[in-house]
Amino acid sequence: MKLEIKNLHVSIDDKEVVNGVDLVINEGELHVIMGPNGSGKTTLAKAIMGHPQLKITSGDILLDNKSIVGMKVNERAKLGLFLQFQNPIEIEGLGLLNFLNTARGAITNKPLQFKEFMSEVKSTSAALELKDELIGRSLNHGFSGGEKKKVEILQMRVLKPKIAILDEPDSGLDVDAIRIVAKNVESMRQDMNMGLIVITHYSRILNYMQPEFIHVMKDGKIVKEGGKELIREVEESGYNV
Amino acid sequence: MSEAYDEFRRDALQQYDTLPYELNDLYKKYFVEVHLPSETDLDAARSSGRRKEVEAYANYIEERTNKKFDVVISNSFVRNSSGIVSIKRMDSLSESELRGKIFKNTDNKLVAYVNANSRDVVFVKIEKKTSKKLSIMVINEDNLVFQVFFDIGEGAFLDVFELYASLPGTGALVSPLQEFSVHKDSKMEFTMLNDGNAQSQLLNLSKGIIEENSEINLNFIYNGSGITKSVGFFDTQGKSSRINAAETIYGTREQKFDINTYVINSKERSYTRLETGAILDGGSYCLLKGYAKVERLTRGAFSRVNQRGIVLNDKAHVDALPDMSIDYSNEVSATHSAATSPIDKEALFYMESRGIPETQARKMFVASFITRYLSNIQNPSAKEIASSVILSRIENDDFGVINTVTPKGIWMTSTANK
Repeated sequence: MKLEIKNLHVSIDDKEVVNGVDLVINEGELHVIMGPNGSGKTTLAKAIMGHPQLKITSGDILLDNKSIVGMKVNERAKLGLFLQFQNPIEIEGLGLLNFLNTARGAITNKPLQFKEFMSEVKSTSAALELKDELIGRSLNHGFSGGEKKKVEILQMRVLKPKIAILDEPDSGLDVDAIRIVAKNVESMRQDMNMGLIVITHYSRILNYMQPEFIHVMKDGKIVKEGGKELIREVEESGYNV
Repeated sequence: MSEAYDEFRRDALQQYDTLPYELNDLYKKYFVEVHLPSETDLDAARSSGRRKEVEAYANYIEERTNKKFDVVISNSFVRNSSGIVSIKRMDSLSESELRGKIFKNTDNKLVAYVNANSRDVVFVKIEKKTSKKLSIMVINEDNLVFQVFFDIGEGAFLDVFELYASLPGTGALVSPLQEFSVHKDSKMEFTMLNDGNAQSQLLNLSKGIIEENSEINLNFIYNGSGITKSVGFFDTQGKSSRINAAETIYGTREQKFDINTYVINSKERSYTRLETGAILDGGSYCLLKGYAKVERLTRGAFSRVNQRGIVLNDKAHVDALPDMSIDYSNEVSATHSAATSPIDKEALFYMESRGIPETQARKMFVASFITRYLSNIQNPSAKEIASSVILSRIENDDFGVINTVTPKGIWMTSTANK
């Protein structure tokens, strides 16, 4: 699968937040978008997923050369897009397992037998070193920041997207948790040839991943692109690269 | 008919004529009115001759819910297979029984109405240090006005589940007046689920006294009926006594709700907690009137009133009017809060981003909201039936029809609100 973003302009309440972004993500590729707060990274991620409050004023988003602008959010997910939220939503009363099973059924149209589904969830949560009791609770309700991020990765592994956008998967995580999350994401990319966009402020998580493309975003635009060497440049000079 | 009853009834009728509809200054401006049938209407209802229909419908509900109810009450059919229940006529009550009533005629105009017009009284008596369960089905076929007295002996436990349903094709008032005496060191679990049809009205009047070291866990689930009005007073009259109450309101179409509950801390180290959640769609309207009162000399008391409303469209409306009165301010913990908002669009976006269509995401959101409050129910069978009735309604957009109870709702979680 190929995700292509062409000269994308996105507004919120008539204020342009993304102004002219071009990106191409092929399957199996790992792209990193770095940039200061307010540079439009999260807005770009949400626009790709189809957030209803964002307005695409010009440009296009293509999946395998077909425009998905105007497509419903759930239909984008069915095509294989996944967004890991920077601040995952808490829904008290909605069981995580039930939510995940419903989501899986909606995406695949083939709900798993509960036993098979549980076995997959349990092995994935063990790999993420998530406490067992969390999977029996309400979706993200009362979870720590780190637990929420791990649950996002758990969802990604169960839903098996073709292209995933991870919005700050490292924020709120301690060093060990960053390593565990990065390892899981990398293994999934390799096992499933999944395309990845990782949005981050920090390079720590990238120590455990093998990114091929680095993009620096500022004021709603990609201002610099390069390979892994760009990470060191950002570390040394900040975002004034 | 005793002389004592005659006098009691005369007083009730007089209070009904003189008392205003609402006594509380704040709530005088905000209330939903129920249509109270005349004496002639009530007499006609009591001779409706629908015994066979009601009996058949009770059997049908038992089949659907897979539960045999201990007591079935209606105007034309009463079944009692419980050893802890006796059913009497109001006009046969003795002077001491009438004097011992917790709800006085002067408490409220509506109380005076029900006291004056009740025919049947259900007595539930639990002996000291015993533990009992009781299920009651109330079928409203035509203007049913009655009373229930719960008397929980010292050190005893009673778990009650009440299900209110309407006979299909009928529409009328059902008005229970319920009194709870929870004596020292005892415990009561109480769940009331209303699934009356759109033509029916529910007027639920309840008053409870909780004695020392005792506890009551209350669950009111207002799902059905065109109009629901509830007035409740629950008072911790003993040291270290506890009231834990959850009220769930789910409204659609033109349903109207007026939910007025008073929780009172009267003694030291008493605990009261009232959690109310209303979720409304269609042109539904709800008034939430939770009132916490902390009396003098209640050191170590805890009081909390929390009201939450969610409206699913621009036409539905929730007015939350929490109120609190604290007469003793030292070493008392008291909070109240209220919030009403539309459905959380970020939550919908999150669910949709996982492939779930918007319609289903909205249903899941409604179910999750209600589950938070249903999780307070401790009786597994009551919880299962309540969850199933709500889920069936979310799926089919219908109420007043008991569908087959499924073992577990797929969207429900057993550990919410812990």
